[in-house]
Amino acid sequence: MLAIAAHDTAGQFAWLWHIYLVLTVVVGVLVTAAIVVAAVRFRRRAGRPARDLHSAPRLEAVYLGVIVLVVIGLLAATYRTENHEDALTARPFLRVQVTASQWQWQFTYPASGVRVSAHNIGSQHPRFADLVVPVGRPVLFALRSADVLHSFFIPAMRFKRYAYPDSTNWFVLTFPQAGRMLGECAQLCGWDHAEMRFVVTALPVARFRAWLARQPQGVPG
Amino acid sequence: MTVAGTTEAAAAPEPRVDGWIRLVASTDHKSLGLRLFGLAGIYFLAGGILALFVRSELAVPGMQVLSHQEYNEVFTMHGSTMVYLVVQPIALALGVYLVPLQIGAPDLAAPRLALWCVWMQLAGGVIMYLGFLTTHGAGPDGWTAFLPLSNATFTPGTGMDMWVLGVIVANAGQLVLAGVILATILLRRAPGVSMLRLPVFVWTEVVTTLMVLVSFPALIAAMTLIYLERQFGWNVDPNVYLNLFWFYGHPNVYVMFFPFLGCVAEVVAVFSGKRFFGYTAMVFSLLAFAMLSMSVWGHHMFTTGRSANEYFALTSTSLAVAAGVEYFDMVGTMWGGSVRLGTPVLFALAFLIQFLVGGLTGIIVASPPLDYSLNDTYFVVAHFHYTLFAGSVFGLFAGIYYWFPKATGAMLREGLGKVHFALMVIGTNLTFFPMFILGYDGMVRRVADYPHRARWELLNSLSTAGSAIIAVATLVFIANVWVSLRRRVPAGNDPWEGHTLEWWTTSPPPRHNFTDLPPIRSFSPLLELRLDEEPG
Repeated sequence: MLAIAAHDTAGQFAWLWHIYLVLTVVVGVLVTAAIVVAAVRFRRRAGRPARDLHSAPRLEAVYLGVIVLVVIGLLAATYRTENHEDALTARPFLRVQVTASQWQWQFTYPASGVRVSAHNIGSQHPRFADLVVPVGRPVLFALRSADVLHSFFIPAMRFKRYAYPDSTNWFVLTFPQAGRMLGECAQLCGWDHAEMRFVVTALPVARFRAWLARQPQGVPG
Repeated sequence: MTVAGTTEAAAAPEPRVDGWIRLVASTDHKSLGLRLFGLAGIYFLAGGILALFVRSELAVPGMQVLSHQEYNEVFTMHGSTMVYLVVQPIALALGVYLVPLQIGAPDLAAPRLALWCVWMQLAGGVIMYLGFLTTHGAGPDGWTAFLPLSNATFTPGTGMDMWVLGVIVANAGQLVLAGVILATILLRRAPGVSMLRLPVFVWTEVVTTLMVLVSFPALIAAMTLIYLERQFGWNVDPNVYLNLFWFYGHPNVYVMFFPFLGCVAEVVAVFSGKRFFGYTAMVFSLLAFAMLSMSVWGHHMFTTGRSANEYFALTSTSLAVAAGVEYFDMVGTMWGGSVRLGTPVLFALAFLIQFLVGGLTGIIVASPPLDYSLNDTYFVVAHFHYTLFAGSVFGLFAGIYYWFPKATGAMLREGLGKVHFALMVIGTNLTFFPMFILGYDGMVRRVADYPHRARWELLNSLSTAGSAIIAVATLVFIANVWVSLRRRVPAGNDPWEGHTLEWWTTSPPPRHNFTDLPPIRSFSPLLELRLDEEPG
């Protein structure tokens, strides 16, 4: 856990997911086994009538106690992870303004006056907007929509957030490694929703700085 | 046809009513229930055909069958049909048919109101579907129709207005129908049938109708807000709409679950030859579940950044405790029993195991950090189809195979039933399990197209193949009904050694259900009677 940065949402997800997945599989197998065993072991046979067994309050209470303990454990793990992911960091390395609109993404780097966008409506070979970010540093995002509800989703980062037209959502992501990733709109937003994608390029800090310096500037923050 | 049989007796002076008048105006709860069933069955086939269009488009990446606009209309109508016109009304139709029989009542408490609800059901669906004939097509904004996407700027056209009105009409009918069923349970019980002697199925109807009464007004309010924004230029806060919609939406998923759980409980008890295990615990867990269900809606909004995530994670995960009681009691009912593995119980067991997959993945998406990844992806689509299709629809088929003899007087064919069952299990899991992996991989829902990736293409084509198997299974079921009604195997009053009052009367029951009743000292009076007769 120590090795995972608080806003490395992919790493945070992986830690929590494995807890839930193992538990889900174990419970699923046990309960399925109980159902199958009960149905097969007690299937109808001549000369064996049904026993009138109609409650076992003490056993049921113990069983419920176990479920309650498991629920508490799961919630503790969930709260711990969520506190890491949802906290806003005091000193972000970079701020990016994300604007979603039907059916495109726009990324603004207000401190540098840089803006990246791409129109891809109905195009045969759409060029998606490229969100370029540094590796290993917390990036503060300010997300907003220009029209309907959208949802900013980076599957590889295991993170998404609604974009509202009437309020801004703030969140911090720390990209753990360099590479290119798919970004999608996750919230139905009209006819071209399926093609409302973007590309995420995570670069080492030095290369990110160089990229930022190469961009045309002058967009008011 | 049954009328011809009874005229010989000539005892009943009731005027003979023509078939079509009965279809239009009968207030007999059995006829009302069957008409609701018939309507929902037609809507189910329509919604199923739309699902096949969806799966055809998604079989491979790229656009082949539909345009983006058509795809949005088709999946919207698929979802809204299945929720508003199929599973919700069937959940209530089961109550309309079975509740008076199980509580020893001659009829519903307000039969003419119930008749009105049948017509609202027909009208609501027809209004929604007529949208396909308008210039801009039917409603394209998903069954949730979030604002501002669903306003007149972003979704112009009469089709969307008709969708909103159709949803209001159908759900207003169901709201009133739930009141009728609850009033029947509270006011029309036969002497001796106390609240703690209600069969488990009737208890599931109590909690279902309570949830309908509290939550459906929120849906009608939300739809009204869409209409006001579309027609009168209101400017509704998108978050207000989200909260209203999900305040309805989450109790509603249990509306679409409990009556089918009730079917399964009855089937498992009768086919085990035992009374239901842990009856009191079950009743209180149902009530606790229903109460808790009113405080979990925010888990649909974990990724909005504007929801009390910790609170809703707590309430949603706690549902596992109530659900745990239900599973414990089902296994306990079989334990020590004498289980007959007929078609109804096969569907009931598959319901339990497959719903478990839906329920456990529900615990996963009840964790906000996991939902940040899985929300609005195919993982959620897989999750709710495991609860609604692999769960509720299987529970429904358990109930249909179990009560068909009561409603028609004829048994369904056991061989065809087992073929139907096998195809359903294969088709369902092949269709919906790959969606878990797609969603985990990040494929978002409500898209007609997806990026080229070998793994996604394989999983999507498996899913499409599964949907074809479900279609074949449905044809087998229709054939089974056809054959069973044509060449009838008479059922008699009680083909299954039933526990509850509906098996006391004839199949199908007469106009006012009962001429006499056995002594009622528990929730399974017929089982008691049989145990009293058997020495030892």
